[in-house]
Amino acid sequence: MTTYREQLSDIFRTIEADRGTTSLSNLLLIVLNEIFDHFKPISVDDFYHQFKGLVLLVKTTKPRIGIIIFHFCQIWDEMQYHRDSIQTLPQLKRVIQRTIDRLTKEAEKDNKKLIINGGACINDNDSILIHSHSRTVLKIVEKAYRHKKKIRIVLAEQEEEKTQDMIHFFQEREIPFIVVPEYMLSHIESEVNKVFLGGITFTNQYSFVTDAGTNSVISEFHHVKIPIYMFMTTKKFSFWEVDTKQQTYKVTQKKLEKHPEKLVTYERIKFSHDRIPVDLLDYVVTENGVYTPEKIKKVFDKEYKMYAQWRKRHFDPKEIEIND
Amino acid sequence: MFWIALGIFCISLFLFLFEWIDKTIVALLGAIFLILFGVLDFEEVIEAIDFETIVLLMGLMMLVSIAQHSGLFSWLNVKIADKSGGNPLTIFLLFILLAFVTSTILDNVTVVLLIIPIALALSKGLGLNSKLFIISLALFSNIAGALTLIGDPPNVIIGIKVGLTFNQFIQNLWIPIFSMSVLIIAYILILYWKDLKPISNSLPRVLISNLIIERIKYQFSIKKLSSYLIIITILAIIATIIAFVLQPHLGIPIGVLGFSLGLILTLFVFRHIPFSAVLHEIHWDSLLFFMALFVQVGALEKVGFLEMITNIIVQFSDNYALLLLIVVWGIGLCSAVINNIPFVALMIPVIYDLQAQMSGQPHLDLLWWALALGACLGGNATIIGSSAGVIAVDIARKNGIKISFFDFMKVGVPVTLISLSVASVYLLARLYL
Repeated sequence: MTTYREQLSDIFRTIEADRGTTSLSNLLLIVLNEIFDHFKPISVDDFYHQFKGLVLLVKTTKPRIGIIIFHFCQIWDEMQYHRDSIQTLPQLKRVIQRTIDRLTKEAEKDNKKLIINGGACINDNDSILIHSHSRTVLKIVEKAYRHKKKIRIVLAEQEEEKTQDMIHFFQEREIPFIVVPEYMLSHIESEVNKVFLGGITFTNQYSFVTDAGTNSVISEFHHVKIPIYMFMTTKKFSFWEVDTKQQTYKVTQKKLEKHPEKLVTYERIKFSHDRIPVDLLDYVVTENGVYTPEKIKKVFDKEYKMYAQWRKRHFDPKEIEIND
Repeated sequence: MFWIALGIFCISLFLFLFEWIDKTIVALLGAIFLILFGVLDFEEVIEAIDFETIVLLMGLMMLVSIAQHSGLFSWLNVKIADKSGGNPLTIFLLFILLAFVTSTILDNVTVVLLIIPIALALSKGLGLNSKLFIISLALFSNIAGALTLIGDPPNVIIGIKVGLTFNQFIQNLWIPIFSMSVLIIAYILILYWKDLKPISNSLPRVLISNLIIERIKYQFSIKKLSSYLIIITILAIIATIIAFVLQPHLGIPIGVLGFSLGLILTLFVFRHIPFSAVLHEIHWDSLLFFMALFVQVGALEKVGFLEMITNIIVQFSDNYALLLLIVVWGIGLCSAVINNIPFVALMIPVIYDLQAQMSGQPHLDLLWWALALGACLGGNATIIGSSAGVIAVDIARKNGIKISFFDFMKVGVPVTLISLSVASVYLLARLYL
């Protein structure tokens, strides 16, 4: 019997693998906005009680997804703020939907700014390697193409569904691209002059949580001194203590495969994500600008301090530990 | 000759049961041995094969292949998932309804292949009892298949061999099929209520289910669908139903009609779906299996085995009501463990003989409905009783859900007992009322 946490973690991971973190968080806001069509709480108190439990579930999924946690905490804060004035479910619905509208608009605004800042990192004749199916990264490149920048797009082939997602994105928009298997990238090192990445979150250990396989791509291109860019809005940052174990999820599969001559059973281990130390990157691009690793650490530290109260409110270590 | 024909048939049945060797190879080898041992000559072999059944099945398989390519059923699945709002009871009932409706027109295996993956994604993602969903869908595709002439291969064989029409099947079987469906749904709901009860009072479950539905919608949205193909497929299905309903007035043999419809459809879609792709998805092995089986039954008929069976049944009892029950339960129980098609093929001549021996009895046609109901419904008791059951369990296994023989029987046996009981009551009511 799977728990709600396992189910939620599983569907988060699956949608994130399909469409990226930003799309997942947007989708979650859409579903939450329509939740009253399907969820019939007994009372206002019942809704508060269940939503509190849901926020706790979201805070302890594996992996934890920064922007989703941020959104849920914002909605919860807003619900708490209006607690005394809310008497009926329609009132509660209005408060939640208003907050979701605000969060959606903020996310759109941040994304637009990030796309503009990202666009500034692309020049004519760039040959860009993309190892991320992050919608934001793909849109940055799309915009540059639409602005008639002469660019070459190289997609690093990785997990099937992620690669298919990238291919589908460019194919649908009729943007030319080539695909190179991740394990053959060394053959095109000299043909690429920028590497673009997206990620799920940036943690207080100054590491990014990214698609599995990113680490080896970075190692390869860091070694030959090709600049590596990470694109992420600051809303995705994790302003809480992160346990490194929680950021990657190990999946052990028992595989039965038909090899040319006989059936072979073996254990196959997969990992959901990679953790990338920020120092291995050259630039981190957010909605607020383009930063070097040293600078982004300072930006993060400053914001981390600003979120002290918020952290205290939402990340009571005991509560998280009990429910983890 | 008698013992050779019987021996070959018994060995074939034994091998069908344990499935050590592909059933088509077994049936074909059996047919070849019958020729080699001189039981049948080549002309008799050709005569024994009912080509009308074969071409009807081929035409229906073409229709199914095109329907699969069109994406119509994926679209229907997604719509159902969306409309369910993630509610387990609604998901269950809507998918059962979809399986029921489609199984009356399409082959049960195709229905299971089309519907179970999405029902499984929803039920598994929601942490519901996926086994119940999978088993129920397989069971209902078999139950609904019994309603029409084209719903299940045994009905195709009975319909064509006996000359029954599409309308006669529906007119004679709608009462027991709908009654047992209502009873079985009620039975499942009562017994498995904890797995199916509404989730609208649980926020996490509602959220998770709606996320899963959004994902299913997204996965479907990235597939390029051709509205032309979808419209053509819908029109083809409507045309097929109308043609089968009007078949007695058209005077065209039903096999020719089914094959023509399939062929005409390929004419409209060959630019989108190559004819080779349509042909590729015809189950040639099944068609060869049927042909070989007809040969084996033809041999048993020639050597007088079927006449002997008829005499045994009549000697056992000359009570017509009891005979009806023997047919429905006997065939039903045999179908639970062995492929129902050989039994149906074998029983058709037997039933003809029985009718001849009981010529004074009214309602002799009830024997055909007893045969159809027993053959189509008995297969629900076990995994191996029907192809739909085998495929459903296989899809489940590939998705990490193990359905044991016992798991299936836990749901399948009571459902079969309910079905066969309803069928018995209906047949007796028709006889006496």
